[in-house]
This record gives sequence, C-alpha cells and structure tokens, in this order.
Amino acid sequence: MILETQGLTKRFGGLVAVDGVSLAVRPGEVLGLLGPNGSGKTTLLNLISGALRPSGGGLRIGGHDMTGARPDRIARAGVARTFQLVRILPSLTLKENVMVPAAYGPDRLWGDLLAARVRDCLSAVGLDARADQSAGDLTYIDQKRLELARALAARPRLLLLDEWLAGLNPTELQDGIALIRKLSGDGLTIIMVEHIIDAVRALCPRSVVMNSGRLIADGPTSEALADRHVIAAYLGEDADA
Amino acid sequence: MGYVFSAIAFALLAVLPLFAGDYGTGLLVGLMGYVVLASAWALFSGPTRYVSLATVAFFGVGAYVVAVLNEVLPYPVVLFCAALTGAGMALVVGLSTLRLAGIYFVIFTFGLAELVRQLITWFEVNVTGTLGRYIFLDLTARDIYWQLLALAVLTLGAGWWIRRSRLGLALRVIGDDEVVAAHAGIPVARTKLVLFVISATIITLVGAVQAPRWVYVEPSIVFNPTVSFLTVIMALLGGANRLWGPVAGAVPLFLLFEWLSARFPDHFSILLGLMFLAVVYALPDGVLAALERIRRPSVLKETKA
Ligand SMILES: Nc1ncnc2c1ncn2[C@@H]1O[C@H](COP(=O)(O)OP(=O)(O)OP(=O)(O)O)[C@@H](O)[C@H]1O
Ligand SMILES: [Mg+2]
Repeated sequence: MILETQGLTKRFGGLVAVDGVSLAVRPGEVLGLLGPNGSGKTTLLNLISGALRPSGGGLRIGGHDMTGARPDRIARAGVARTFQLVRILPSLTLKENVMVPAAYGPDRLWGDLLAARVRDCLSAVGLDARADQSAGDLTYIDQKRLELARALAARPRLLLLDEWLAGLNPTELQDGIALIRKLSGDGLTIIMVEHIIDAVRALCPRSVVMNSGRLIADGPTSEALADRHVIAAYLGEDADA
Repeated sequence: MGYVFSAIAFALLAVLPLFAGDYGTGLLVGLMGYVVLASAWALFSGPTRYVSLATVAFFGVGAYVVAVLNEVLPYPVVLFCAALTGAGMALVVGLSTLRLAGIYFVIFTFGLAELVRQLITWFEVNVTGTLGRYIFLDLTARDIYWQLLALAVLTLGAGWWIRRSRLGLALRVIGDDEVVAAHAGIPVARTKLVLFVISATIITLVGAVQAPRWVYVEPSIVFNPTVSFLTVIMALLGGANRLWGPVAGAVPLFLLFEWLSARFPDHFSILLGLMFLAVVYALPDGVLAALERIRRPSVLKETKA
C-alpha cells in the first residue's frame, strides 16, 4: 500500500472535521475523494500531506509510519500536492517555482539535472515558453497549471489534487483530464478531490465519499455514487443550502 | 572582470584610512560598522522578510563579551568567545521566536534587546558589583576599521554564495509562502534558524570589534536601540534583497544620520522613528526596486479570479 490511514481524526475545538477515516490506496490507483462542502476532504488531504497534525489515528506512507511527521519529511517521502486555493510563489519566476521541489524533494537535484527536470515539468503543462516570467503575473488558470508543474517536479509517488480541475472552461477541462490520465498512465498514484462528477467518472475507477468528516462509501465510482447514504448526504446539503 | 574590480575597490578601501585624518578615520569606522550591520541583517531578513529589531541585542552582547574578557584572554580568543556567545544566543532566540509571524516577531525582537540590557545591568549590579567596565586594548581606529572591512568582505561573500546555493532558493521560498516551502521538502524551521544564527553572529562580531572605541562600556551605551532602527532603515531603503542594497543604503544614510544627530540632537529620535515607519510602509523593497517600478509601470499583476 502506498497510503494507509488508520482511524485518522482531526478536531478543531469542538468540530470533528475528519472523524476516524481508514483508507488504503494501492500504487497506481486514481482515487476520487468526494463529499459535500465542508465534509472534510481538504482537511483529510492536509493530514496526509502533513500540513495538519492528526488529533488521533495513524498514517503510513509507502509502508513507513508518518503519523505526526512534518510536511517537509512527507514531501521527501514522495508526496506532492496542489492547494484548493492555489498557492504559487509570486516573487519567483515560473522556472524557480518548479525548481523548488526538485531541489528539495526526494531527488535533491541541482545543476543540469535540475534544469532538465524543470523544463520537462513546465512543458508537461504547456508553460515552457514562459519559464522566465514572474509567477505573480500569471492568470488564475495558468497559476493552477504552474502549481501542478511544481507538484510534478518532485517526481512524487503520490499526488494529491484538491479541486485542481475547478474553474477550467470546457476545453481546458478536457486538456486537464487528458493530462491527469497521462500521469496515471505513467504510474503515478493520485488522490483527487473533485466536484465535477464527469471528470471523476472519466478518471477514477474507485471513489470514496465523505460526509461530516466520516467515510460513508468506498468502492467503484459508479457504485459509490449510487449509494443511498451518498445520495442522502448530497440531498441533505441541497436542503440546507 | 568583476573579481578584478572588487579587488581594486577592496584595496582602495583598505588604504583609505591612511589618508583620512583622525576624524575621517572615526567616521570610516562608524560607516563600515553599519555597512556590515545592514548587510548581515539583510542576510536573514531580506529573503525571509522577518523584520528583526534584535540587532543591538547581539551587537551589545558582542561589545560586552570584549569588555568582560579583554584583560583575561588574548584578543583573537576574545573575538572567538564573542562569536560563540552571539551564535548561542541566536540559537536560543531563534528556536523560541522563528515560529512567530509578522508583527509579533518585530515586537519580540525589540523586547529582546531591552531584556538583555536589563539582565546584564542586574547581573553587574547584584553579582559583580560593577556597572561600568573599561576596555584596555592596544587597537587604533585604523585596526578596527580594517577588521570591519574584513567582516564586510566576509558578509558580502556569504551573501553572494548563499544567493547561488540551494539555501538561497529555500530562503526566498520561505519569504513567499512557508506552507509551500514545507510541502516542497524544505525544512523551514531549520533553514530559518541557520540563517538567523549566521546573521546574528556577524552582528555580534561588529559589536565586539567596535567595543575598544568606547574605552568605557556600560549597558546603556552599548544597548542603544537606535542601532537596531538605523540598521533596518539602511537595509530596507537600499534593498534588503540585493547583495549590494544594504551597502547602498548604509553609506548615504550613515552620513545623513551623522549630520542629523549633530544638527538636531533633541529631535533625532523622532526623525528616526518617522523614517522607520516611512521605509517599512512605503518602500519595503528599497529605493532601487521602486525606481525600477517607476521606469516600467506596465507590468501590472493580474488579480486572482
Ligand atoms: N483550520 C481550520 N480551523 C477550524 N476549522 C476548520 C479548519 N479547516 C477546516 N475547518 C472546518 O472543517 C470542516 C471541513 O472543512 P474542509 O475544508 O476539510 O471541507 P471540504 O470537504 O474540503 O469542503 P469544500 O468542498 O468546501 O472544499 C469545515 O466545517 C471547516 O469549516
Ligand atoms: Mg476543500
């Protein structure tokens, strides 16, 4: 298993944002992580990437215990991510943005190898022509592209995408889906939080669904989506809204 | 080409005090002191954007180590002890404060200088029973100037090297977004700590090297908060993110402040405070960067969707 969580829990004061989530992900899987707004998806990704320390439960990455490990250690163990609210490094160039995880991640590249890795990753998302521009000058969509290129520069084993496809227009969405499919074809394990159900159906053979911090379904995507608890959870959200 | 130019400039600076009179050499000592202080401050605070007002805490401790040890140990050993004390103190301070964000860090570092001064005063009065100390070292103003010049070369050399290294990249990432830095594999706390210690050690050495100029030393003399504020203004105004920025800020501002403090001794603190606020709010990237922005205003950032 590349990722195993055992009863992973995160409390914010009285609120239990992630409530005893146990999950196992095999190498090469593309897993959809679904659930209504506020159900704890981002918090779960934060626990896996080390952005947050769990209040309880265990986390294993690539068979090693990483419970409570700092994010830099988890990154060096081969986990990379994008953020729901995109986070680029605005005062650095595109090239420098992408250099960072290649230089500090699992491979610790420098010099020619680093330059080659940076070129590869920028061209994978179609930004290679603008390598020397300042990242702060990019449009929102290009910032999302850059963020993915940066995550890929670490050559991660596990990639966490938090609504990376959100906000793309139909053409960009098709490109994005094709790109993720290609990454998966190269053997990358991906966990993707996504609200665009068509994209989930297209990319994820398996999905898990969260509601109020708990996992309420885990299985083949079409079955998970047809589960009556899942339907109730989404309907419940509609009724609240 | 750059090396040749630097070597010539260095040689010229080294012979300068031979032609300057006593007053001129005294001025050069003060000037070179601030060149090193501003450059060393910028090593850490430039890329990370942590505005530290602890400069005089380290500077004063450096001077005090010399005051305490100058009669018991040979001079090079005294300097070494000063550096070690500064590094040790920076390690403790860094471990306890580098998690603080923004304004809290500024306030803590400001308080630190006062705390150290009160501690030393208390210790001297209650334990050793002497408030003031004398420094009898056979060092001329020229000797001190040359030591400071060497420190300046060392500091700029370190800045040059860090800029080209993995460490420099890490610091710039930390300055932009610590969360991203950590998720890219950068050990954020350790990186900040290393730079803070390097910067503080150099600052401590400036205090140690300059101490013999005072002859008589007591806490209120060596822990003068003006030093911290001047350093910040010089580094920020010149541009703390450029290798030569702090130097470019230190030279004209040192001369300006010398003139101001002689001309308006009663209002100097107010002028200083106003300049500090103006620089921190209006020109955090420095004058050079502001000029560049004015020359090419077309590059406007696109805002997030
Ligand atoms: N740092 C935090 N402090 C306090 N509460 C938090 C924090 N982060 C998240 N929460 C709360 O935890 C719950 C789960 O939030 P989370 O962001 O994980 O949901 P989500 O499933 O990603 O939602 P969305 O689909 O809107 O992105 C929410 O109620 C949220 O308000
Ligand atoms: Mg979310």
